[in-house]
Amino acid sequence: MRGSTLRLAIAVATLALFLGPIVLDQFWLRVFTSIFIFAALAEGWNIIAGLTGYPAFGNVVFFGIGAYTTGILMIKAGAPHAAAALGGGVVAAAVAVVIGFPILRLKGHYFAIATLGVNELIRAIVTNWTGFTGGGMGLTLPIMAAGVRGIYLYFYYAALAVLMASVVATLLIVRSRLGFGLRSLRDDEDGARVIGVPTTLLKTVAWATSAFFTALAGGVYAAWMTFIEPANVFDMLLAVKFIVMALLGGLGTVFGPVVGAFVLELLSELVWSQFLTIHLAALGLIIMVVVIFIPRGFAEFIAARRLSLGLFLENVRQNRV
Amino acid sequence: MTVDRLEVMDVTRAFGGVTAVNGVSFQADPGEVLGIIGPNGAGKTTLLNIISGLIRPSRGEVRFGGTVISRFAPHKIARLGIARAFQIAKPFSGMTVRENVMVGALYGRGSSEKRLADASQRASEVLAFVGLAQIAERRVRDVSIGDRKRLEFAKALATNPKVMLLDEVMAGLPPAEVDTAVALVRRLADRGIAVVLIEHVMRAVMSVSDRILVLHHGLAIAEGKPADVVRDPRVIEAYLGQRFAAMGVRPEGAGGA
Repeated sequence: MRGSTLRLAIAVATLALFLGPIVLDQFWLRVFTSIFIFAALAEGWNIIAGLTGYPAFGNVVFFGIGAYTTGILMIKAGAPHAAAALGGGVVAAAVAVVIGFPILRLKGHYFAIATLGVNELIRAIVTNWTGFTGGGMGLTLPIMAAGVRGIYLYFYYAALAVLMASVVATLLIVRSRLGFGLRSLRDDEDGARVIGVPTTLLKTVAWATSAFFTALAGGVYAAWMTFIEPANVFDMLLAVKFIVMALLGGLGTVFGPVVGAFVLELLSELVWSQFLTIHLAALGLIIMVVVIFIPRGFAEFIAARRLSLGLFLENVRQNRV
Repeated sequence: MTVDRLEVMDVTRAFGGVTAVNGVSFQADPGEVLGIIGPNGAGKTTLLNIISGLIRPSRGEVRFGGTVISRFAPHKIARLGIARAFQIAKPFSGMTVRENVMVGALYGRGSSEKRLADASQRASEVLAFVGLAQIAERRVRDVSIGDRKRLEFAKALATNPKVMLLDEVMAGLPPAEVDTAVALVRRLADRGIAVVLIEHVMRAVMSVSDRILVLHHGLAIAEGKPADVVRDPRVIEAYLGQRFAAMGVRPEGAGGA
């Protein structure tokens, strides 16, 4: 699948998603809204982890920041949802810049662990600042006056818009000077620096962009759920899910994380949701299978143009410790 | 003073108790090839790391065109026109050969090529110059070690540098390729680039260098024209020393150090 075929497939898929609500009932609108939010999270994570090579496990912190900023702006300032969500994106990007300055100097595991620390830190602040955030009691957001179907449609298109924006941004980054700089520092940071790539600046820009889209998704989620609490918007399990989606589809590719989110979330909705107890076990199993057999995700099949047992075994051999 | 002169002034760098570079000074002018030789552990790579900003000197300073650059970030130094090729090639393995070189063109001196199309054009020129044009679209992981060395060189050259710091770019190359590399270095100098060359392949470094600096235990023990340096008793001792003398190794062995 290359060039024109890919473009056609994307155009058809986009059109289908835009026209989808004509035929979708409320159950499916809800499922797709959830998929779009997860796909945007996976794509947002891809910008820092895939394109830049910095596995920010704690990226879910920006989801929480986006959700809380949106909630607070809507409740305390009476801001319309779209403006409040954008505000959340801006706040999250600013936080990424401020904490990125010290922790983007770390590499690999150390960076990943530091981002977990950031998530716990912000979660603790939100939990204890009861007067401003509602603390452990959570925050109830205003319900939109648009009728049931209207509300479903609004969040479907809001989530789709965030997803589209994140994909377009990734596409633009990959095809720009910035994208070349990010990919070069991902492969060899010193090698990039000595030929003029300002790595600290580019990493910070990448993380702020990642934070922005992650927070937008959080802003849509918060208003959609109408209730948020620290335990569910700063939830590491959420991070695990969008990380697995990105890995499943293909980290560092433009469309891989989106495809991964669709596959995993549809499977989860259609199959495992029937069996509540094994739901998490199935997620665990998928993580293991992906890491062992297809560490580069579905994108690898497209690149290799084949799908065979040999490919899986090759991966097992190459990646064993 | 020459506008684009590189000046290393009394540079010292200690790691714990080891003084890797000890009060070294030298200059390199545009169009000149300066060879740096010395036994393993003499401090050659540390010296280049200091010039390219990857580590800071404990004492002394580096100037380029009169500006003190030894506190600048590596990318800033590269953008001023000091490019670096590493001893162990550091290619961007997820990219093609052309894309690797494009990074240099996109982010190099003055960052003149801001558009990808221009950078690609510049990459084509550089790849043709170093003889990698036919493998331009190949992924780096599918490229031979010799070609990776040339790519390392090409990435640096694509930044449109005024000074090139080459760290053993010829090591491990077959003799025919060493000759090609020597010719390339000469052509760079003829274009007005100052080349600082660390090299163990004596035949190459002696034939291409205008001047040679000899480092030993972090000290600059000799500097001069190639023919004079090899006759310097301190250099002979540094290379052969008492250990070799005791083993009965004859002076001809120096060439292979």
